[in-house]
Amino acid sequence: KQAHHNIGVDNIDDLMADIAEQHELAQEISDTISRPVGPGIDFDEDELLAELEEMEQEELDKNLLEVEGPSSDPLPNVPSTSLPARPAKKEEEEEDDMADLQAWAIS
Amino acid sequence: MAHWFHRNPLKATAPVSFNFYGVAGSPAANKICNDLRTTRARLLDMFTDITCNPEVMKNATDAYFSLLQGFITSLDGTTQENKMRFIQNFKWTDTLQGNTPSAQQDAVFELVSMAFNVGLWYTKFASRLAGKENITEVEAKDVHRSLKVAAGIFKALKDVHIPRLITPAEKGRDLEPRVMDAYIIQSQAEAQEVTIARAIELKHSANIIASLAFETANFYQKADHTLNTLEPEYSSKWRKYLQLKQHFYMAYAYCYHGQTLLAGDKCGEAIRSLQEAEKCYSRAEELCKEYRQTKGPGTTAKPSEQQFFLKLGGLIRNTLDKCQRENGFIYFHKVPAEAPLLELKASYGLVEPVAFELPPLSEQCTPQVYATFDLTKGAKNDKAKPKEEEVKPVKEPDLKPQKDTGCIIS
Repeated sequence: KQAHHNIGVDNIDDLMADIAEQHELAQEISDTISRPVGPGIDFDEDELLAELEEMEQEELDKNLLEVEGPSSDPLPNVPSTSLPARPAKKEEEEEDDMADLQAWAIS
Repeated sequence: MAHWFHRNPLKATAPVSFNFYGVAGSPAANKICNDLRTTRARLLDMFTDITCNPEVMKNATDAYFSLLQGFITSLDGTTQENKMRFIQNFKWTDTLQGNTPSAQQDAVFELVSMAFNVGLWYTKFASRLAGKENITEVEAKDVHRSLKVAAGIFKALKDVHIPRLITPAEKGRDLEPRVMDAYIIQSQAEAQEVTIARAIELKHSANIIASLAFETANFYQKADHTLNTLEPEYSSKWRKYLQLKQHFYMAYAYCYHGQTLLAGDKCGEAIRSLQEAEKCYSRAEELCKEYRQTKGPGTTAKPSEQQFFLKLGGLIRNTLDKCQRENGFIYFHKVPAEAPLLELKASYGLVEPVAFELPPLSEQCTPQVYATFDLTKGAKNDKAKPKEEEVKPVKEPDLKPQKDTGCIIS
C-alpha cells in the first residue's frame, strides 16, 4: 500500500511512456541486426528454387555422364545368340523363307 | 555354327586277292582279276585317307564297282545267276560288333558291304567338315549334300541290293533292316540340322525354324525306336546319342515356338513353351552325361560342353526372361498348365536322299572274256586254297573326339 501511494497516477504514465520508448528502441536494434547484410538484395523464393533445381540437374548430368563415359569397359556382351529380329512375319514371307531353304537344299 | 555327330567305326575287311588258280583262262580274264584286286585295295585306302574328298571317293568306288558287277549281273544274255557270283569268299566286320567278322561267299555281299562303307565314309567326311567352328557356307552345303548321298546309298542298299542276299544278315549286323533304317534316318536328321542352322543364320521366321526342329526331333526319335529291339550292350551308346539329339531339337522347337507365340501376343503360352524348352534341354544335358558314360562303339565326346549345346541354353534363358518381363508389365497372362502342342507341317522334303546308282559295267567285262572263266578248273585246286585272310581293324584318323574351339565375337 505504501508503494502504491508513492507511485501515484502521474508517475505511472511517465513510466509507461518510458517503457514504450525502450521497447521501440529494442525493436529497432533487433530489426537492424536481423536484416541481411548488403544493400539491394531482394530475395525471390522462386528464383532460389530454380537455382537449386539447376544445380541438382547439373550434378545429375555429371553423374550420368560419368556412368556412360570412362567406365564403359564392363558393358555386358551383346548376346551371341540371335534373338528373332523379325518374329512376326507374314505368311507370305514365311513361304519365301521356305522357298529359299528348299532351293538351297536341292541345288 | 559347328555341329557334332556321333560316328560308329568303319567296317573292316580281309584283303581279297581274286586269284582263282586257273579259272581265269585268258589274259583279259586275268587282267580283270588283277584290276579287281588293285581297285579294291585303292578304295579301302581311301576310307582312311584324310585328304580324300567326295570326287576322289566316287572315282575309286566306280572303278571297283564297275568291275565287281561283272561277277553279279548276267553277262551271257540268260536270266541265270552270274556263274562267278559265288566263287569268292568275303569277310567284313560290322559297325556295332567290334572285330567279329561275318563272311559270305557271295559277290552281292561284297557289293553291299563295300557300298555301306562308302556311305559311312560320306557321313564321316560330313562330320569332319561340320565340326569346324568357322564353317563356310560352301562347306555347310557339302556337309548337307554328303549326308544326303550317304542316306541315298543306305536306302538303295536296303531297298534294292540287300534283298538279293541269299543269307539274310544276323541280328545287330549292319545289313539287317533295323540297323539300315537307323542309318538312313540318322543321315537325314543330321542333314536337317544343317538346314536349321542355315535358317537361323538367315533369320528365317521362328515358325519355320520351330517346325524344322520338331521334324528333326521326330527323325531322331524314329531312329532310336528302330534300334530298341537290339541288344543294349552294343546299341546303347548310339541310342543315347539319338535320344539326346531328339531332346535337344525338341528344346529348339519349343524355344522358337515360344517366340512365335510371343509375337502373336500370347505371352502366357509363350512362357509355358519356353519352360518346356528348358525341360527338354535339361533332359538332353542328362543324356549327354549318360552318353559319355556309356560304353560302346564309336566316338566319345563331351557334347554338353560344346558351343552348339551351350548356345541353345543361353537362347532359351534369354527368351524366357524376355517373355516373363513382358508378361510382368504388359500382358499379365496366366501361364497354362499344359505345354503347347507343336504341329508338324507336311514334310518339307529338304533332305531327300540323293539316289544312288551303280556305275555302268566296265568295258573289260565282255561276254567273250566272261566265257573264258572256266569254273571247272577251279574245283581241282581246292586243296591249294590259301588260308583264310585275317580281318584287321581299320585305323581311322578321325576317331578322336572333335574339339570345339568355340570362338565368340563379343
